Amino acid sequence: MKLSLKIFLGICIPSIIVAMIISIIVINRNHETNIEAERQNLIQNLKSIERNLNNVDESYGKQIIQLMSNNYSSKNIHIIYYYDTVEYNNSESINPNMIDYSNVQNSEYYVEIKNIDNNHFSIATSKLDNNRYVTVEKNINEVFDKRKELIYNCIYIIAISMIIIAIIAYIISKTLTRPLERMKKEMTKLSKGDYNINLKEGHDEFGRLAKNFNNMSKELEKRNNELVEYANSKQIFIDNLSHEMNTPLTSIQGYAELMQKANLNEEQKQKYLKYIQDEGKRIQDMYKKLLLLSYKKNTDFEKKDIEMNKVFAEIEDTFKERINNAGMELIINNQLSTIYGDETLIIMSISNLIKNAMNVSDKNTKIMVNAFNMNNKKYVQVVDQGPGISEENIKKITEPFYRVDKVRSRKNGGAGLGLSICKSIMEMHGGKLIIESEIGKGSIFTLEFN
Amino acid sequence: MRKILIVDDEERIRELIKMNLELAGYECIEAEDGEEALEKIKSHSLDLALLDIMLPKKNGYEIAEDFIKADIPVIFLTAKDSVIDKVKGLKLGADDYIVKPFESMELLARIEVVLRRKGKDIDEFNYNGVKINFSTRAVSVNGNQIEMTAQEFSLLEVLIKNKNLALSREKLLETAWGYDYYGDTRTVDMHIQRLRKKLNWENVIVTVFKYGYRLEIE
Repeated sequence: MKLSLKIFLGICIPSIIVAMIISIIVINRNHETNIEAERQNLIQNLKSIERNLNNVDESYGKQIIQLMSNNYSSKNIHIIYYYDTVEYNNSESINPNMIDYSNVQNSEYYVEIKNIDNNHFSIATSKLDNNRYVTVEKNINEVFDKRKELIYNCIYIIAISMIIIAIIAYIISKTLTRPLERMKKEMTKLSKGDYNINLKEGHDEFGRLAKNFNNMSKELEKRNNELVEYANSKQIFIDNLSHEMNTPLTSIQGYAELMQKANLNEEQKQKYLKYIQDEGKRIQDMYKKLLLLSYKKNTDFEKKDIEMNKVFAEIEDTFKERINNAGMELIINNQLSTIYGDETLIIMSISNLIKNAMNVSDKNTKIMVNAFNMNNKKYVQVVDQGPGISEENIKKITEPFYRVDKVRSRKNGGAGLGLSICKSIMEMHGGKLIIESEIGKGSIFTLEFN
Repeated sequence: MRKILIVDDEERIRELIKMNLELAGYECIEAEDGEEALEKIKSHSLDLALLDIMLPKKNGYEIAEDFIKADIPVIFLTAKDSVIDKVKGLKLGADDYIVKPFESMELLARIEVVLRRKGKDIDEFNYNGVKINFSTRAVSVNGNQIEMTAQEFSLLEVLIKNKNLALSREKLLETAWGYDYYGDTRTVDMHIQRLRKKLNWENVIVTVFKYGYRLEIE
């Protein structure tokens, strides 16, 4: 059953029951009061008749009654006089046989209400002395008619008020459930994937519910967007990966096929074999790097205090000559004694940054590596004087396989994974990779260790 | 000679395609990015363009239109292998779409089909006195007409279309005889012997040890 119907009936049914009970009680009380009044009235009349009878001798009883009866008839009261037998009866409706004189006690007024042929009578009997009784009878249909009329009035009033109550109840039930209806509508929207929900907020229960609902839909939208973004980035990653794997594979398969099918001279054969080897290595290299990227999620690595002097000596060893041969200069300025972390991974991330710097730098430029302490944090910076990176590219540069200068990067054997590996390594160490750059001046890549 | 533009940002892949095409008798021009490729439209009269999609500067989809406007047939040669990409490429008006890695024979066959459709195929083949007309199917050696069965001619056609590339016996059976032919590879050997004899090509159709045959033409 719908809530609005429940509210509607919840208002209407109790109201009608209460109205009916109250009416019945009031009508009955009123009726009883009226009957009691009739009774007392009848008893008063009976008393005055009694008094008149007592004043005269028994033998005049009948005459006295006869005299009085005219007077009482105008009051619609009829008298039955009994002295051993019915001596006088001017009642048209009451048969004296119906009166059970044995029930009547001395100095008592015996009053009955009787329904004779759908006429109501109040009958009061009094015992004067032995075997002498006076009975007065009055038709009290009026009282019963009054009750009937009252009942009809009540039904009429209840019916009208019920209509009014029903209208009010309908309005109340609709007003109360309107926010629910709207919520239901919005909920349907939500289930269809539309997160654009703005319910009216307020301070009552529905208003607060609406507020929570709005918050929930916003949160849901956020989560959903995150998921979509995550799925997209996964898809992009897979697309890129397949493309990156495809290129060396095409070379390997193509050159192998060419060697098998074409008539090549020794020089060509050697050249193509080298290509095949190179491309194979490229795949291996990429595979290793990818492994490293996925490695962080499920492996804990060995952290310890690493002596930075040793690290930089090793780096200088690896790069000094290569950089000098390329016509550039490597300047290392180390003020750190130790960094807490994994030695291999940290050397790898610094090396990646230096390799990147080499790839973008031209002859006669400097590559600076600064390691220092600041505000209780440790930093390793690689500064180049290359062409710089646009803001748009800085955002994407840590995505796997993203390259700013694709052709140049490939020529240098890059797979576009170096910076994403750096970023992962820094995340594993609870640190950050910070990239700053200015077009035309160069870039600064900073590893921040907490 | 028919001129084909190879656009790919990977030098080695360009070299690979070039090598294959040159062996089959095409002239090749290379471009490593979209902009360079567009310049080649003006500077060369091209018969066909092989375009990679993911290119620096301007991507393959962007430049394809210019080629099609210049009435140069386009074949996409790319690592992107999703149906959406293929449909997109073909809708742009490209004549074919080949996914990397590719087989040289397939590449050549598809190029051949596109060129033929554009009326740019070579009807005649001349080599050292051997003259073959593909539309009339007439073969002559030093002016003398040579009788040839239909099967011999289709084998000869496959060899010429893939000249300078070795073809395995199985591949020859498959392409010259058709998939539904249940023959022995010795059938191939027999037909090759007859071709050699009829055309005087004892040294031109070379046996590749334990593999198949190659038509060697400078």
